[in-house]
Amino acid sequence: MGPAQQQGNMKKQIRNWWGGLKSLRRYPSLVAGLLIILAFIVASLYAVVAVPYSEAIRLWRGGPGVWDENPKTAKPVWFDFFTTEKLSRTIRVTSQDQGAVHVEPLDDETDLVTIELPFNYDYDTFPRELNLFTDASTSLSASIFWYTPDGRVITIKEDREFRGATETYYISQDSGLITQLGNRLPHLVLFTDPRYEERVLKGDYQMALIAEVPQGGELSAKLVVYGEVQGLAGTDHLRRDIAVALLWGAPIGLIFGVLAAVGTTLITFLLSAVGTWLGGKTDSALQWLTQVNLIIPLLPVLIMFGYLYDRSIWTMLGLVIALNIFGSTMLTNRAMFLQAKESPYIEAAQAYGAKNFRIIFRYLMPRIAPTLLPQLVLIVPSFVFLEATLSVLGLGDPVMPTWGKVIYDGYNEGALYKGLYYWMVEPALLLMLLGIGFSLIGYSLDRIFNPRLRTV
Amino acid sequence: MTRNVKSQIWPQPDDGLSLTPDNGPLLKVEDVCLHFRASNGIVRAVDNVSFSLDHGRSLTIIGESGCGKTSLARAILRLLPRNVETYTGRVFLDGTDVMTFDEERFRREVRWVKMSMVSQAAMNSLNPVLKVGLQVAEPLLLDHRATKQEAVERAREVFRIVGIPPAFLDRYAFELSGGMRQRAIIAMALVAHPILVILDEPTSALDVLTQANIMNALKKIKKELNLNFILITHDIATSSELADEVICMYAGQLVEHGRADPFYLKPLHPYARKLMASVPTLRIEKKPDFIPGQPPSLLNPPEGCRFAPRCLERFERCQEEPPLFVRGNTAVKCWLYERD
Repeated sequence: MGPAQQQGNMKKQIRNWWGGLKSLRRYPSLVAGLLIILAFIVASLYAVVAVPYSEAIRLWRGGPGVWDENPKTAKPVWFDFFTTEKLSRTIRVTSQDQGAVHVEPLDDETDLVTIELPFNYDYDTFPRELNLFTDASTSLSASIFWYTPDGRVITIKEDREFRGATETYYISQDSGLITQLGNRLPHLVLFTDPRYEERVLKGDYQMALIAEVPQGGELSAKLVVYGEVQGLAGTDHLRRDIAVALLWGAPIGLIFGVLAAVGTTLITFLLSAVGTWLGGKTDSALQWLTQVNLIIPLLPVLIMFGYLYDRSIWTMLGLVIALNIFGSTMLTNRAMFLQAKESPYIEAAQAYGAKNFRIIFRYLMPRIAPTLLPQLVLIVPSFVFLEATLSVLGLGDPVMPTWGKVIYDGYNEGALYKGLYYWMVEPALLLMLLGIGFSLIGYSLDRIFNPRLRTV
Repeated sequence: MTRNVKSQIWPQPDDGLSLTPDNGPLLKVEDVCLHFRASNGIVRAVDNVSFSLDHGRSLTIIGESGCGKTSLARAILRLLPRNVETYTGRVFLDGTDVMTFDEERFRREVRWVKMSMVSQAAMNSLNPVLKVGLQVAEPLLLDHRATKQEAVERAREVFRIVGIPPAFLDRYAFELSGGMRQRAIIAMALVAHPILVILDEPTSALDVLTQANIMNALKKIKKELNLNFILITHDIATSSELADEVICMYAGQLVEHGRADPFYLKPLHPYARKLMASVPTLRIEKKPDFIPGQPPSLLNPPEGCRFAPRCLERFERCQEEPPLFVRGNTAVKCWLYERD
């Protein structure tokens, strides 16, 4: 074959491909499903690139310093569109950036340091919490004052002792301050318009820290006014951004589902082909195993294994594949192979001397292979759901952020009871969308590859 | 330059199979029996069939449906189903008793290499997921009989012989017409240079025009390649075109074996006479005859001559089974020919 001819062949192949792609228009549900799954794949790639695996695990494990500046169980920011009020968002004011630091020498050894932390509060709802993060080089004492837009000055704390380290002052939980404010929560009182009950006073606020700092000492402060909404997906009870789990749930779910589907489908396909062709004892053994395995319920076995041995997602994947190999597809495949086995062309192949291996791989399996694709695509979501089910039952991977674990956390924290619907609805919606995507593709492929369903 | 594929495919001279006419007839079948196990008894599909075929001659096997023609072909090629009860007798191919070969040796050295077959369901005998060219080359690719390139080259050659344009090498079976598929199957039977090709109803399921085309192609192939054909058919009209010799079978037994020309003009066995009388003719005004009764069940064939219950010329001797009587070039299994 000459190079020119080869090039011609390639052109022909490309034309064939293009023609095949154009014919997809006849199956709009296939296009819709492909678009959904493509979106999930793009999101997965973005997740893997933007938040590397180790980083995702670190973020999801949380711990001190990771999510301190996020509010607890905050709704997603798009909740704002559905309310008439402007919901409060988180404001961070640091002494280095927005704030001002004045240093006056008091005597030979100490300076009087005044830190001003101004911010503008323009929301209709109260903040959730008020925390002050400080970093001092030595132990010192400081007084904290609060300036409201209408000119009032509220003393939050006089001469509070700060140890020489990073420290968090939980203003909202300071019992002394609560008592001083008449048993009312500080983050509400500090933002209330005195002319009305329970209404926010908008405008420019300022917090001031006045401290005596030994010369050469350093003091920096950061005020965080926690809002009611945070991030695209909201936060959970550990202040974690749920978006991290939703984003990373996509690649984990896809990989788990696709690997489990491909693994079980291919191994079952191969085993049923070999069993049906060889017949006799091999076939009987496979049938026997399948029938026994079909009676054993999958979920209790997985739960037992998860409690007794290991909950790593990869161990579970292996177990799921192993338990699903001898599933009902073994029987449906066998039915198809039994029919194909008797085809005259198989007999002809035997006549001219083809051996078992060649007959199985070159004659039997390619004949049935087209029916495999819809079958494979259709069982992917069931494995994604299985992984989510395990996570919801508390048997998810201990470290990985998955959709199922978000639902599990939401359920444990009574998210629905507390009205935090977003927490459980978001991962559930993503699971549904993934299932719908694969189903749309699977059923369309079935229409293409299954001649009995093909419409003229 | 292509290497000589033939030298690769022929067995080596010292393996007991060599092509010398001194070895006697091309094919000699002795007392072949093939009985099947069925749920209600034993089906005696082929019962003690013996015949021989010389080099350079073609044979037609005719008979009613279910008389054991295909089973005889399968017995010769040892393509047996799973429910075989007895399989005995001797088959000499070119002087060598191939029945003594074990299955692996038979597969490797005899089947398709020396004797090939175009099976009855030829139309469906092509793998739907292989390109026809590769499919036809497939017998050569087994056991590394030839490299892929050589095999495809050889497939191109046999395509030319059976009259398929080489462009069809790259097509799939469903893209071929019925006649084309039949030709491809014949090409596949020729691909490994066999000396004997068994054609089992190669023209059934084809329209009359295509039948004629296929028969013409076969005649051309026979002349061109000097092949020996065994043609199995119940279509007596087409059978006459290719045959040098004819075997007529009835109820699993050979009833007459003779030269084609005398047989078609004047068969000897009463069954063969009736069979020939049932063929409508084009040029002579003649009412087709029929055979009374129905073919016997092979589960429990009649004692003595198996045709006797339907035979108009039966007499006392017919209660015993007749041997094959030789009359000139013809062997006939009927007591009528006991004395000359």
